[in-house]
Amino acid sequence: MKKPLLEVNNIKTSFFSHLGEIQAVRGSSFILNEGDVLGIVGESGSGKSVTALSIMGLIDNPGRIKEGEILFGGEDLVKKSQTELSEIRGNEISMIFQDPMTSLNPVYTIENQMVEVIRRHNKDMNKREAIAKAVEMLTLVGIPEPEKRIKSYPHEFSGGMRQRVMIATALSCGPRLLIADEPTTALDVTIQAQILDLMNDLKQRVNASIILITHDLGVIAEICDQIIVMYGGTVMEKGTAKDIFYSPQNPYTVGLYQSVPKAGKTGEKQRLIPIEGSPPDLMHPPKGCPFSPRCPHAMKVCLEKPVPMFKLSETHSSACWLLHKDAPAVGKYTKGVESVG
Amino acid sequence: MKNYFLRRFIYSLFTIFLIATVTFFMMHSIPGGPFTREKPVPPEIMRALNAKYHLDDPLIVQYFDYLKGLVTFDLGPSFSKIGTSVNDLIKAGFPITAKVGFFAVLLITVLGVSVGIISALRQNRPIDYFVMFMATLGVTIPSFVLATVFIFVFAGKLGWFPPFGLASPLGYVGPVIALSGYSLSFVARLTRSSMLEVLRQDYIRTARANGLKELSVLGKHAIKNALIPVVTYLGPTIAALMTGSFVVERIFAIPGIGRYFVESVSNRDYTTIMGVTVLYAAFYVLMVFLVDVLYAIIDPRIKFEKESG
Repeated sequence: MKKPLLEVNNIKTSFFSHLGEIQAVRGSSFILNEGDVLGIVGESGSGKSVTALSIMGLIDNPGRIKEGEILFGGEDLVKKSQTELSEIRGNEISMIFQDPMTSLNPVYTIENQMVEVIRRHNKDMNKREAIAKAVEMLTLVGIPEPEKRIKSYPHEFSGGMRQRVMIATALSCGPRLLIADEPTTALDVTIQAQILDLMNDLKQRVNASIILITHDLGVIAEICDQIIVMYGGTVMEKGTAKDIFYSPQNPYTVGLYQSVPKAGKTGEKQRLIPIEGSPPDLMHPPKGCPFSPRCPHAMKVCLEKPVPMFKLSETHSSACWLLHKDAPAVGKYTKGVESVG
Repeated sequence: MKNYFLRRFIYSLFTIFLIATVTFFMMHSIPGGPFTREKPVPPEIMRALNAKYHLDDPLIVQYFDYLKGLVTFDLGPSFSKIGTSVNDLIKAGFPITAKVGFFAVLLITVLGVSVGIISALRQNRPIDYFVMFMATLGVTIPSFVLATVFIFVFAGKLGWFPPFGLASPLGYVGPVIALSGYSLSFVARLTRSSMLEVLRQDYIRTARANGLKELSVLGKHAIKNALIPVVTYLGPTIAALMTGSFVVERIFAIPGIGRYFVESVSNRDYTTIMGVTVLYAAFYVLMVFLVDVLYAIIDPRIKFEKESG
């Protein structure tokens, strides 16, 4: 049995703008086990990134975590002060971001930026040792001639190389958890594959758990053990990669698959099925299931009552009223399971 | 690098030369001359004066004579202050003007930048509103109003500061405030908006995500980027402040060179006009050059020249 590293319990994060409260995350819960890769999928505005930033304690004004707990190694991160969190960030939990072009400070060398982070969390290290560590990390992520390149400024690197530098910095203090927020979205396809290969490779070598946030299902399928599907600030479905890809139990997950082009048989014309409508207004979120206004199977109850998580197996659960034992049978959806939450 | 400095130096000299040339011909195209008076001067005397100062030579000859003087740093005799040379006028006035200007520059840089940063960090809090209110006031109130009010309240009513002159160190307070009011407010606003812009950048989030202390996030990662536009503004401003202001020097009775910028023109004091213009131009060109050098130091993306040039 794997030990849980991170336990997110019913986290709610809102942004308080002058127009009103924007409920970006409305109660998401999940568990990440040690050594696992957890994928979070969902469209823009589904609350993926805000969930990640909540774990990091990087929710800026006017946002804040309203309730819930984030247990990391048994300690609740929500209760920690910024000073305490800064000891953890970059040290035990690291994060890399979507746009490597703007994520490094343009006016300092790579060496300067990496050494600062390394020495921040390894106070007994002198500058020479920190440089050696930085070079070692750059070698690990596949930067050619790291001793020379470390003296360069970010603008002297390509996008893919910068993302490698970001990964090297994030891993330099040996974190137990790496959060990657759409690490390949801003890169072109060939570089995307390289970065994913790198992360897959590092997963084995550096012994860190990973949360990978993306809207790219292909990316998720490649390296994730566990998957969470998010929509409208809530978790719609969670399970192993096998659960989610081979027996999706939520109309939203199914909708996501149908809207992705498949590398099918050549010559065969295949029409993509879009999900009609637009994501919910998080200032006035729907009373019931957030997906109900767009769901082809929506029932009356979907519009009125919040959906609980229905447990389908040890690993698989989904938030959809169709899974209730009294719901009519629709397509291949399992029915007759008991609600768990 | 060495080539760059050399090239910049030559460009600078050329710029100063162009400014001197344009000023010279524009000035001579204004009707009247240095000896034109309301009461007509007898023609013989006029002729004698013109001959003495070579004003009867063809304009082009006068121009080359002037350039000859300029290269040897001889700015010629003043026409309105008979017996003194423009060099003497500048030597007497410039140190005083520059001293007041220097304090103004110091105030603007230190206070303007720090107030701007504090304001940005306390965005939409009372202190931010207060700073922005003062800054708006500072930008809109002209220096002569500021100076007059200062003299009326602090020198007249309260008697804290001398109303004119620089005899005591306290005498500097009024002129420095009046001189820097506008730029101080402008720099505070500029720093604030630039800082707010930088704080939204991804690399600031990265710095925080890497667990860096807030002191380093702001003091190292944010400030260097935020200062780039401020440096741009400060260069020319320093040149303007160090060469003085007619209004401020007049109101506080400071014997600097600021007044010559206006007086010399109404007197058709050709050599003085040229003197202060060239001085200002030289200062300006120097400051712009310093700003460019500073850019390259602050921002590595800016290069002195293309590497594969």
